[in-house]
Amino acid sequence: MKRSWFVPAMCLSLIFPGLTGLSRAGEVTSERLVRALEEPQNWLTYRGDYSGRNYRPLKQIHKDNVTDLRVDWVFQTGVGAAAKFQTVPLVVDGMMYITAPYNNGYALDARTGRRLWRYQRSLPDQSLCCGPINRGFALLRDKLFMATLDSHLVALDTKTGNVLWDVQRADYRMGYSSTGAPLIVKDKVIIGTGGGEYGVRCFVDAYDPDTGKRLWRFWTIPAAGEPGSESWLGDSWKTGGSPTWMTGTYDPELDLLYWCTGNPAPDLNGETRLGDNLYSASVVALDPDTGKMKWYFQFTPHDVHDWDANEVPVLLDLEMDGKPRKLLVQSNRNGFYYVLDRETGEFLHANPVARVTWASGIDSKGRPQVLPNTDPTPEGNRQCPGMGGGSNWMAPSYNPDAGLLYVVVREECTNYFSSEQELEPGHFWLGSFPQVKPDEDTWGVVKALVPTTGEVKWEFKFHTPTWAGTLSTAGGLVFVGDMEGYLTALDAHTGKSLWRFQTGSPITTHPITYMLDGRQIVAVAAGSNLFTFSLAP
Amino acid sequence: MRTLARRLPFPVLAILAVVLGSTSAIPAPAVAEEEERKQNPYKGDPDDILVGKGLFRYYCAGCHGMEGGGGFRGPDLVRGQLTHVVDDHDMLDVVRNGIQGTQMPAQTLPDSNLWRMIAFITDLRSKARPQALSGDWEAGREIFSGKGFCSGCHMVRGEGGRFGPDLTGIGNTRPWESFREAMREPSAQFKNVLQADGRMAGGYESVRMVTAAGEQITGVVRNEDTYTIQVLDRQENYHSYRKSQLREVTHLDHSLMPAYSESALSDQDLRDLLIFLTRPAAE
Repeated sequence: MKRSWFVPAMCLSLIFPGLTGLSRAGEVTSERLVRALEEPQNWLTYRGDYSGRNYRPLKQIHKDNVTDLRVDWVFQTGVGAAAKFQTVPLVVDGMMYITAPYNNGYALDARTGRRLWRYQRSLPDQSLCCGPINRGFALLRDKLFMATLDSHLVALDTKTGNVLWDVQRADYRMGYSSTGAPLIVKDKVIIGTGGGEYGVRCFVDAYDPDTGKRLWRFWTIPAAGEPGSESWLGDSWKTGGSPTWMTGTYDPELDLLYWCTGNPAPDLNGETRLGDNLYSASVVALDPDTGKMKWYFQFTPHDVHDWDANEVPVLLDLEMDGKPRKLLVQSNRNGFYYVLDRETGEFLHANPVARVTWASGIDSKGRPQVLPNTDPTPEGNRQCPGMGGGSNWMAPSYNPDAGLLYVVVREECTNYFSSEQELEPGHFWLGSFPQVKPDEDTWGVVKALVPTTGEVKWEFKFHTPTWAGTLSTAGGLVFVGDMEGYLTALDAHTGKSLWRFQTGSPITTHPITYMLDGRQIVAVAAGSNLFTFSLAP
Repeated sequence: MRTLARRLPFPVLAILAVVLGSTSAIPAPAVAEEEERKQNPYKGDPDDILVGKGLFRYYCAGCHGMEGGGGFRGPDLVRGQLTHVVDDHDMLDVVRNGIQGTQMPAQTLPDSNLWRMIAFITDLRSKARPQALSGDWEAGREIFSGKGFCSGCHMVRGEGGRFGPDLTGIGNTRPWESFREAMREPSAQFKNVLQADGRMAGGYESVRMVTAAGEQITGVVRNEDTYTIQVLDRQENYHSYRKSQLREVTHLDHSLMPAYSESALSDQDLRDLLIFLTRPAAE
């Protein structure tokens, strides 16, 4: 392991507390989050750092010794294995913090996997939108933040799990519900919301980490009279969804927060909401101090296939057409891979990354060239990608050594049906129903893309479409899970499978890696268990 | 509030054969008395039934059919006799917890929406005409182990082969039309035998493998993943291989079950067979 600046900095801060602001020694500050990649020993945010690249410059585990990887410990939550365990642990200085379905939270001793405290929430019966999952905590100083299924935001004490504050964000009885991990930016807790299937109007919020006071709210659908409101028929903006259920990313230099939005509601019936339906199925660039929008880009105008654009946008600085560019890339649920300029939102490139039947391509402005007769119909209309999307929440990762972006793609098609459905507050409002085409083969793939062109360098195929994301490391490895329970290590340059472990349950989240006592650890949630791996001593 | 105990699999009813409807041939179930029998608060409400219909189509129709009439994999919920359910309370338990030992999964939805789905199913059942089927149980038994050659592959009530699915109790859950099609054109329904992940259900998908040594193995897939495959052959032997050890893995697009023509088994033969599959003894 490469010793970082961190330990000496800790010592200095003990002598000169002012060096790290008001925080106590060792506490995670907003400044540390900006430099998260300089702390490869820790995993401080949902996607490891602000750029969302799910990469760590660690290479103790590498291509030639990965076959010696074995289990360190397993922590069994005992919480409903039927619910997907999608947590991404936060690891800082020997402590691990995880969440589990039904808003459980735990602090573990990272060395032993032994539980130090547990938080359990009493949930109302009606609060659960789309599975009782939670994707993880955010951490700032002595507090952990969890967004809840009943649409609250809770701050827990890192040492005890005690509730420091608990604020209601919206009315869960209307269908608002949160599953995503919050993001800390400039001492603010930024968090989105689910509810795209319930006919509510969604938003992104910022909260004061000390008091729980809301600092700003960005509505993802403009109100009547505001710019963009003309993209909704009549009053349909009031019930238009556009949820924000995944975590965003942040560029500290540009001081822009990137958050992605989901489907307009009702999902599969667009007749009542004619228009482009801004800012659904889009990425918005926000000022983190005010929540004001700087630019937006809509991937799927007037989406009628539930192709949320909630996939975490990855921020890369690469040369494109001979010029250094600040890029935002996303493998979208609509089946296309996109490259944007993240300073301006300018569309730069797109190409299909999965089978696409609904559009012939993307035009020079970034608008899909939609083919006729591709909308859902009362009789059912087969289109690809399926409702699970080309990509979805499965984390992509970027390996700067290989120069490749690893995206997870689901190859399946859906019979999309439409039907009229009255909205009833708090109730599922799809306006339709989907059906996986029963007589077609389906599979999953990891694709290694050249990020600026979308060119595929290699593919690794799974037996079943997967919901698991990727992690890449300087050891030349890509770790990824699958629905049959394998955690696999692939060669980052060739896609060859080098190692695998059968966890016994589907993996529906992404692995992380960190250092502990001089040893590199890989951790992943599967079933209702959290597994850690390291090289045999 | 949700408690962990309420999410645990419901142990009692899952192992009891409980028959709903007028032709109850099995004694009334022994039911845990300590828990109050829950009533569906949304029963009969047209608006809730409509919401339940949408939920049903999203969560259930893939197996049970768009109108609940069943596929080859999911039982007919409208005309069939439900083996794990006598009342709304059981239905809630089944939908909430799944049925152990079957492909029926648990649904992690709030009870309010589970009740609405159940209101939709109950409404369909109340409108359905009971399935009238006449046949000779003894004749059906003879066909099963005699000219139908069914018992070579299928087990019923502990007797028969192990290559195909156990058919105990299946007659209660499959309507006549579905059963007849399964016998006449097994490969047609085969395409609808799906797992939640969109693949053929274990025990139905057939495969031909060629080992590195050139040995050919044909059978049904008991498990398959990215790296390995486990197959049961016609002689009821298990074969487990890493795919890297195999020269060829071909998924067959047809069922290994033979198709029965009218001359092999008449419609009346099939009715007799279905009666045999429906009841444990002649009435």
